[in-house]
Amino acid sequence: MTDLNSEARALLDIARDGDGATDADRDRIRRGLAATLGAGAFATTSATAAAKAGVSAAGAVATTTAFTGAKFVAWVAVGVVAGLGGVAAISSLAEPPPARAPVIVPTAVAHVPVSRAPEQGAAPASNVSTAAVGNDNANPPATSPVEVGQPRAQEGRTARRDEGQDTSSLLAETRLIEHAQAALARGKPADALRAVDDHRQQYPNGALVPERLAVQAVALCKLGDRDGARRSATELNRIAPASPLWPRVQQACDFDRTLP
Amino acid sequence: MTDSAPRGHSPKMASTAVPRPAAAWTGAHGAGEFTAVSFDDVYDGYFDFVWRSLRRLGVPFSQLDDAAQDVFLVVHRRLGEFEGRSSVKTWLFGIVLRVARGVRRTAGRRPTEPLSEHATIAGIETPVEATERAEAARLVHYLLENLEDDKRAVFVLAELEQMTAPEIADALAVNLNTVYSRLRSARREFASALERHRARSRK
Repeated sequence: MTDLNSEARALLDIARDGDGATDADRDRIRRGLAATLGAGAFATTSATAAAKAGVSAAGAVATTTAFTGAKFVAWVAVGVVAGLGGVAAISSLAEPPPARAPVIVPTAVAHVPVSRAPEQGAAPASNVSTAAVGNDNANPPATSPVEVGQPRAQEGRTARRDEGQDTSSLLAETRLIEHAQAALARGKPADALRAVDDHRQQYPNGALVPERLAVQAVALCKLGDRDGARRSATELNRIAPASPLWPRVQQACDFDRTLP
Repeated sequence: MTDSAPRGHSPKMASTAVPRPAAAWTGAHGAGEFTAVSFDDVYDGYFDFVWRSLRRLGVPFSQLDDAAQDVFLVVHRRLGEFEGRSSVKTWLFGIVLRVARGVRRTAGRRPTEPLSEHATIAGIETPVEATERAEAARLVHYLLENLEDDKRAVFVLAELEQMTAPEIADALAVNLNTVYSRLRSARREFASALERHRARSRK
């Protein structure tokens, strides 16, 4: 039988393990199925989901995190900027925001069907609250390892990490941020916020916190929660004032340049 | 959602009521070695397979969540009908294949995420084996777009899932000669697509 040349074979050998699912993917779909089929669809609850609930109950903490793979972050940032650029392009600045509405998804409940949850306006009030997304802006519990309001000296504390761990977690983080971007691009900001929430629960101090805050701010703007968006933008500006994401957020939300 | 149960797996066991699906039975018929397979078993054991297969069959990243959910909704509905005459994996691939085709019909033939969106990852120096694998996977997805759906499915199962020809024949409900024929052709076309891609990259 015709065989592949060595280059093609080598490519396939490398690619074979390159597109597996992450725990986040697995748990996100599980929650969507459980919401669609009913809680009894699954006999068991995954350990990761249970762990997440614990994180959620404790309250997620946003913080700033430096990262050794600066180029990787740069790539992600470019991707996010591109995504937000697209969002900004389709988001008419002249368009008045919809009436103020609660936006975000409660951590444990609102991860309803994966990308089928109704967007704002159609969503029942129980599906949205300011609790979860607000976590990035909310006061962390006293036991939180890193306080949101702490000075940026915290950055150095997380700057050095094990590279192997960075690799896998960064890819997983990137996935979640990509999901959020994709949802924004599809015009589903509520879905974007769910991905943001997933990211916050799993990587409260992750390397892509600025990207998460940027996506969150834009999604909140699109849902009409300008106060929430402003809090996210303020936090983004605080932890990454030179971020290339910042102008995009300003543009998408039509924030004053002096914000925050 | 369309009914995406694969061919060759006629109903046998009565399904139980939703939301808890019936457990299916798998094992060697006639040998008395049956093992119950629950929905949880399928989800936990094969989620990764479903996820990567959808991707490799051309489901755009932005629609991957919905497609994966669709697959498991079908599994939930049809698990009680699974006879165990084939492996869960091949049964599942039949569902994946139909869901992927449905998504692609809706989305159009071409991927919504051109390779260029991810190309910058090639310049990354850090950490790295995982990044290389992810980059390679994206390139493979891109090259797979050059294959017709039937050939693509055979190629994915043979070259990426490393299933045997009889397993592939079972999963796709085609005969062995068809598998070999499609695989020969798919390999040739994949290699050509890679050569063209490399040539463009060198310019």
